[in-house]
Amino acid sequence: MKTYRQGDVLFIQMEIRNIERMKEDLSKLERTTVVARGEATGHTHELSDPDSAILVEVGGWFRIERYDSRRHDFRIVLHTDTGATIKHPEHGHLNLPKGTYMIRNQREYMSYTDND
Amino acid sequence: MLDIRTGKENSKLSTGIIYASVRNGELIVRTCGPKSQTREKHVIEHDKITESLCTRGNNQHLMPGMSNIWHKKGGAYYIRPGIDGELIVKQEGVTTDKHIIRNGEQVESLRILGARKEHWVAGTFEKIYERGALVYERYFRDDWEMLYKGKFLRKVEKEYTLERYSDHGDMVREVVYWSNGQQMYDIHQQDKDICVFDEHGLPLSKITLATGLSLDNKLLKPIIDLSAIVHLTARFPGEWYYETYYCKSDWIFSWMKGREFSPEEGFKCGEYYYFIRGIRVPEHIAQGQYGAADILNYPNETVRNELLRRHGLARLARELHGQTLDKNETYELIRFPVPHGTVPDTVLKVLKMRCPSTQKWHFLRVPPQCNNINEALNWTYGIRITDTRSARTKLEMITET
Repeated sequence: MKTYRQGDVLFIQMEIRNIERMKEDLSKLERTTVVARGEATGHTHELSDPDSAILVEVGGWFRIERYDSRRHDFRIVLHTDTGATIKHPEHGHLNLPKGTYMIRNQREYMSYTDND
Repeated sequence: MLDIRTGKENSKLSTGIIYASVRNGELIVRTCGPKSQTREKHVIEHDKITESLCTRGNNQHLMPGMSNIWHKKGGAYYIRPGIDGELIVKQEGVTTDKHIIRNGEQVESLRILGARKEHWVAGTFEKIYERGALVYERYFRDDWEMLYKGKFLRKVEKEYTLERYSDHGDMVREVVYWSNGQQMYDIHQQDKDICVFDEHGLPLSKITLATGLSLDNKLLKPIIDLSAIVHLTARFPGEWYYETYYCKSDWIFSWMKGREFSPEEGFKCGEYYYFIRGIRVPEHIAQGQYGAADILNYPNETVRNELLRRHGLARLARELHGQTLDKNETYELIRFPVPHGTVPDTVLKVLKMRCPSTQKWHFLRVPPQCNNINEALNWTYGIRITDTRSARTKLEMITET
């Protein structure tokens, strides 16, 4: 799987079998332009052009295995037909090629109770 | 009290057939119909009825079957619904229960177990007597609902007597007395200042809470745990402080303060108590006089993790020379031994990473199972180590900014 990183945010490109069906499902959800907000500085990772991609926070009912056989837990999905750019005040612009991405934030290990 | 229809203690009464469970003993049913009275007696041995006798008026005869009771598997006996009368259940050598039945409903029960007697009246009260003395009384309204207003509970223990009061169906007050009748404390819902007195009526302790005390009627023991106060182990929600006094004086013997059920600082017998995340620690640790080696050598894991958080991984990596497990221009995976760690945390692994944009170094703790940079980095983004090792789900970093 191809991944792209901007600071503490990771974009994992998904191989979607039925893109139209997924886009239809995503269209039922509220769109946003903010990928993530920094915990310390409050700076945001966000879309440079809001029309360049569908970016939605998904709830528990949205299961990516309907569209990609590899199951993953995630909170935000980004789909772009033309390619999209993510901007952040402290990091360089991240250019994402066309495709569907699930988005993960960085986490830290605490002890054995916090295993995966 | 046993609900004979469900076989459960303190269960909510439900309509339906009446149930009793007897392994060895007797079941006696007395019914009083509009025209006649009957008495059935069934002797039960090892879950089986061995003898049945029925008396109707002056006629007495052995019963071929049971008229008001029928047997089900598992030693359970069901009473015909709709009857008025009494059901007496004698468990051989153990208990005798007497249940009053009105129109098939259990309305009153009496259980005798040696010197203990339990008396229950539906929707009214439950009382327990020990050797003739009333030691427990609880008052209800419908079924098992708390009394709407007034004293709903009184419980006598060897050391104290507990009383509770309700208003509008909620518990609003608790009073505890010493065994000599002297009041220990009297608290109301949302009280913030609580005084506790000893058996002679002298102040023993004072508790000050930032948020009012919430009274809970579910636990059948005093809300203020005097033993915990004396031993400096009591905890409360919100910010809290309490102190105890020397006998017959107002000198403070000990005190403790904390917040959200976690002590922070205390004093007893000339000695200060310090805590980190509710765990007692030495003074120098509480005052921040420790280095990275002290942290990794600290025996308690909760405290060790908290000290790590306060100290920071960057500072730790600067102070100690860990073993580099994997390294490239942007990342380094470093290993530090943790002598008192529990498996698998006998080592601390830190991923040192440089931001491609800002060129700043960042440090993240990763699981001890990570063997290389790729596994560690992927784990920080929520990807399982097993997925990282799998060719099918192998991740390939295309761009980093």
